[in-house]
Amino acid sequence: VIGGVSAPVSRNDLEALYRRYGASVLRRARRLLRDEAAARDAMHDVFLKAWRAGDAFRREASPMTWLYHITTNHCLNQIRNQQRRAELLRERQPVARSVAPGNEDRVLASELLGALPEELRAIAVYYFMDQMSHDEIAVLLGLSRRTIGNRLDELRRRFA
Amino acid sequence: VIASCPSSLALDRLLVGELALPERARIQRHIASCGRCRAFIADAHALATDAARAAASLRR
Repeated sequence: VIGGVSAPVSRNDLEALYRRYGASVLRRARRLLRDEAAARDAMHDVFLKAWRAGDAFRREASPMTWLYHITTNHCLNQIRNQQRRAELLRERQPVARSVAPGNEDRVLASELLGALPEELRAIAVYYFMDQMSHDEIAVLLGLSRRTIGNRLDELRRRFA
Repeated sequence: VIASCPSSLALDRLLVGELALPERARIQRHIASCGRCRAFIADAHALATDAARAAASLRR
């Protein structure tokens, strides 16, 4: 049940998801992907997942938290896939890489994130980009607060 | 007072009515005195329009 309203099952219900959660999902996808068309595609994919999850989605204690998590993972996977395609292209055409000025941070960030296992990637985004507390990240990922502290130590060691 | 700003997740949960009382009141008090968080809320309304437009385009 979302906000006391019963089961969305029809196309109207899919649109209700956009109205209720669209701002949050779109903001998050834009911030992670930094590309308008890619962010819109990501939003459609995320809502389709929520819609297909049906009852499981509606039974979430916090559908917003669930959507944050799905959007984060979906976008991080998009970034990783894009990176793999770029690597394949580089292997085929070993020419000097050129990075547009101003994009260095983005390239560096996506390379760092791409090198991390899935759970650590998500924790890095929640902690460094969203500035969430250990408690919030623990709830989001269904892990203990202590585990989040340990994973963040691991992250710092990797990038020290 | 940037350090005490709620996370975007907390603000988003507030906007869709997912927060229960003690926390909801605490965050609302913060927003009343924080321009950065008020800007976040205003931006969320603009984003909602963009998202609704994107949803409408699915029907075409």
